[in-house]
Amino acid sequence: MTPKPAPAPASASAPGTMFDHIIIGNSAAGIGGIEGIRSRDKNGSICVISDEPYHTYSRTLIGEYLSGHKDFKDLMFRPMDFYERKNVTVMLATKVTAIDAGKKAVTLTDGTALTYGNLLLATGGKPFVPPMKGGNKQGVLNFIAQGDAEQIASRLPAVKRVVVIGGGLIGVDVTWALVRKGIKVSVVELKGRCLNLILDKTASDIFEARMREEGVEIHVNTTVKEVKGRPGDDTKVAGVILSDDTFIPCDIVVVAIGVVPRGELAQAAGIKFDKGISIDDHMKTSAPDVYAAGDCVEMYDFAYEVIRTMPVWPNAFMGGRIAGINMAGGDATFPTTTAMNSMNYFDIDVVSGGVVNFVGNMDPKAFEVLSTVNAKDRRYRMLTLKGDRIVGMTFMGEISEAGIVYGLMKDGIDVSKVKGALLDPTFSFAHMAKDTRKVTQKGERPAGMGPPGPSSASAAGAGGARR
Amino acid sequence: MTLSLAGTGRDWTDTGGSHVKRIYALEEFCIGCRLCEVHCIVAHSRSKDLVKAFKEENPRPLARIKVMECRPVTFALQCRFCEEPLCVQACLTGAMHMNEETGMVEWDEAKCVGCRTCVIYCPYGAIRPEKSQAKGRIISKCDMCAETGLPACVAACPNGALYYGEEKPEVEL
Repeated sequence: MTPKPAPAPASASAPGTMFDHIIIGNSAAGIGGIEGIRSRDKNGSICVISDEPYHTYSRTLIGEYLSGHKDFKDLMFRPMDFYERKNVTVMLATKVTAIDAGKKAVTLTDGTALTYGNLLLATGGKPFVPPMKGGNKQGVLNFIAQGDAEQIASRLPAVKRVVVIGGGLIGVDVTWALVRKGIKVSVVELKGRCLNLILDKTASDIFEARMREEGVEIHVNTTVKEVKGRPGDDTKVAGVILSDDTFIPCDIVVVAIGVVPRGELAQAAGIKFDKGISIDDHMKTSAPDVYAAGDCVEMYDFAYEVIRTMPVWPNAFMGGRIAGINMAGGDATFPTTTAMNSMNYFDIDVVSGGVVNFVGNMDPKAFEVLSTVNAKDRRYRMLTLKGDRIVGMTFMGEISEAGIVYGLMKDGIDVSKVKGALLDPTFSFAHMAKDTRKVTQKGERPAGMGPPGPSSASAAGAGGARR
Repeated sequence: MTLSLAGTGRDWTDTGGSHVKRIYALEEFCIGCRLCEVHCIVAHSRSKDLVKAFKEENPRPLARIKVMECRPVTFALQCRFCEEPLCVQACLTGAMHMNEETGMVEWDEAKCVGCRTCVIYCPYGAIRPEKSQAKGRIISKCDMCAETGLPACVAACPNGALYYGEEKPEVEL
């Protein structure tokens, strides 16, 4: 697919329309991009374009906003003077309508064309909303951005009961916020249990028990087939009908199934896109001088050994930062990663990442699972090993040592000699061989953390931390 | 520059180095007594008094240094003040940040929501989940005793197993 021909930008040479670096997106990956660029290039012009109207904020905190525990100013990811200090031109509430990768230009809604030296696509994700009868009624909402949280918050005075479709991270996030507002929530999950992508059954069971303790109603193995309108006003929500014809009355419905990459701009510009925008280990896309990072990209997951989207904040920020360094003429490689989550919903600390379930055609016999559980105290520790290496982990309740274990997992450290101690609450570097202990005394962990990607020779060569 | 380490009579020559000073653990000398943890708690208590910190302050601050132990190996570890800190890059709120002037990794309690993301991204296990009465979930990590200039753990170590300087000294036994 070749880039579509577009008219030459009318004012390409007008002042303020040429930038060394243009970044589309103002969240984790975009801010990582700014900081990456400025770590090497103090003077190059940077323009950030966002279709949201806000100063950069952390989307991970919108639940705290909805629950009333935080104001919007508490959600701000960087100080008010951040853009000035970094000398960045910011265009908020502004949409990019097209990218011309050949002419190295982007077009805005009002027709303005801006040219770039380098472009970073940090366009993020959008809510996945399946077609659903009655799904277009007022009060059928999403929950991924501040605008969504504000919409829900503005309706709350008239809301007593909410149906949340999707029992994953987003669904649990909005449920916990609403529960703390005293609202009755029913969660509808298509699979057999909540958080089924990021927790195993043992951990999900403990978590669901805690949700029910707070009055949450959980419906699993089912979905909403229709949103019913009110008798007097069909545009407003009266409740939902599940696949087994159960009716749940509610005032609003939150569709929280997940996010999918926002890749329309990239695809229309002929940039390679599969599950997300395709990138190499320098965060470069298939188009010259166009980089991408964050929820809009697909990356290699070293734990599941597949290329997939891994829409978590740290991956987005770190990917954006690597892209920024390279845009400013550096040579930085993104270490392979996996989706690591830290959750504190319902007052339980849970960290989880890598292989925690055997999905698709994975052979459970190729793995070894170590675990210890105390369901009463909601404590659980589970490790998935493949050969001599950790490839998955869940810590629930007590998570202090999780960083050490995740470090060993990312670095692909041989843990065969300490297998018996991995579940011990006192497990630490003191259990590891002297060479591994030495790492703790360096000022800097060696570069190139993480095992090599599927075909990335440079990543393999940089694996200095691996022994 | 020659540093005299409290209580040991053992002198280390600071060999100079690149940037920020760090605290280095010399496991050859660590006896696993955990006095570093005790004095870290005192240094970050409200009273700065050992007995009051342990007997009266509730909640007592967590030690920001941790003795790792698997006998015969013991050594104490705290924030490594990385040049490319993963805790800062992973932070969801901007609470964990690098001071652009000093290169120190600092943490802003007011911005922290205690999400624990830094805890899992620190490969040293040097950030501890904590709860405060006022704020609920937070974290704690070494601040190198910024107020006094000499880390309390280093000053308290009875056997010179903690060294404060720009590079780790070579140890010959």
